[in-house]
Amino acid sequence: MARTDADVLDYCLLRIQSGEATLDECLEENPSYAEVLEPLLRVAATTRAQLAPSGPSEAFLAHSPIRVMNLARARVKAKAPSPRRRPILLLQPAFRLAGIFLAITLLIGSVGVAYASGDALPGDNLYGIKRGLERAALVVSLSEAGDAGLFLEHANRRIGEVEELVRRGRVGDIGPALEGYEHAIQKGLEIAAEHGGALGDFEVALGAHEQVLSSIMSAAPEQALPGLTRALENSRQGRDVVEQIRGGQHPGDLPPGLLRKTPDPVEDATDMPPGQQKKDEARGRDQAPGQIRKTQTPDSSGSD
Amino acid sequence: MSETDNPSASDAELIFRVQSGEMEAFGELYSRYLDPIYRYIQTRVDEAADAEDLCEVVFLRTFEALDRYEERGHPFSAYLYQVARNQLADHYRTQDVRVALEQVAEPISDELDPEDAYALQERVLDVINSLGNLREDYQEVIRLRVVLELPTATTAMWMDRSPGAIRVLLHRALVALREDVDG
Repeated sequence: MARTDADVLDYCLLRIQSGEATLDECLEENPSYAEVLEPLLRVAATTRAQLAPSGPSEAFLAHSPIRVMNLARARVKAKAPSPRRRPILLLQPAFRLAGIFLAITLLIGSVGVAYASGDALPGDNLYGIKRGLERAALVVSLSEAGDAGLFLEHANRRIGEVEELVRRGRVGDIGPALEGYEHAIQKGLEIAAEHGGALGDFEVALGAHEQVLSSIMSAAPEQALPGLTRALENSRQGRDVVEQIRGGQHPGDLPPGLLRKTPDPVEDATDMPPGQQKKDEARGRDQAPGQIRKTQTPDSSGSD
Repeated sequence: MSETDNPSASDAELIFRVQSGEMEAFGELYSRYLDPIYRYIQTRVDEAADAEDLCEVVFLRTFEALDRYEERGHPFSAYLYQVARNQLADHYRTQDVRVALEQVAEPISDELDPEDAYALQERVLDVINSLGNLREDYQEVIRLRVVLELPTATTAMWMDRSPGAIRVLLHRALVALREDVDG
């Protein structure tokens, strides 16, 4: 079968790339194609020499797998199906709440409505019921540790709601979820700090929230960025609180603003423009995927 | 970087294990394909930090979609490549990604005569500039086959074409690149 210029070019490139032959040797081996091949192989060599990527750094290789796996685990947790889809949850410690939930849902008229509210998002008709059931669960919780766990669960749900709303393009509805997130973190950390326990859970979850929020921000529209930036800051401050308490500080000794920080998450975030988050030099745990420069030049559409 | 590099488990096995809830299997997939996906992204962005961010987002997006993943005659690496392309498209929509050519071009050796060095630098910039002028599929085949030195078969699977079509595409792309440089 006759070889085409394309076949010979590909074959020569393969031999050069594998180190089996030099460019000149390839030309000598294919004299009848040399005139055509030479300029193409040379332009390929120049292109490769100038644009060959260096590959991932050692620091990235060391930290990234842990970061990505933690985030993946957090997403599995955050996206755990509601009881409607996974009845096995009823057998978990929250089982004691189930009877009370049931009574409440019967009172408001429909078990189906209560279950259906589990997936409701801010702006949906059933969202108020969902949040109401969460408050009811806090009321009937029998211990401080239970309260802290519930607040952490609520924070996870709020992050999931934000992610889903942005994915659906409903960024106008993210305010209540972001507000609820800040509230859940503050209350949960206050309780965890005062009564001990659950700090490790908060630390892991808050790290995962940072990652999720950074990822959301990389694709979110401009109008959502102030609120998301504020939520990201809340996650970081929450982790600072955990670290300081672990370092021996009493919650009462912490600087104001860490545990008590309640301005509106959307309106008050304008003092931190998107993209001002500092990049950690070693790309350690403070650096989240998707947390990249936002210079906002929509006209640079790129090559795709 | 082929699917058979790690004889301990095929991609299909690892994916099945992830779908069954075994997170560690995703870690294996990540380790297996981090390098080629990272390098591909690196050819498309100027900052290493951006490449790192995007690379992690690509794998997380893939993880999120893995429960719906079905092998349809394409290798898993081709799926990752498509996710990376989509993520890069999103990146371009929201970032200023125009790269100063002087930053891309590697410095020319001091040992050259200044005139020769200048000519060589000009030539390098011409090549890089011309690459950006090519059709997207020409640019892409040069990135994969020349810059990343992926085998023709892998390039074909990633670009969803036959190996013969890739050989022809590469030939045309290099001809076009050379004409643009000389033109």
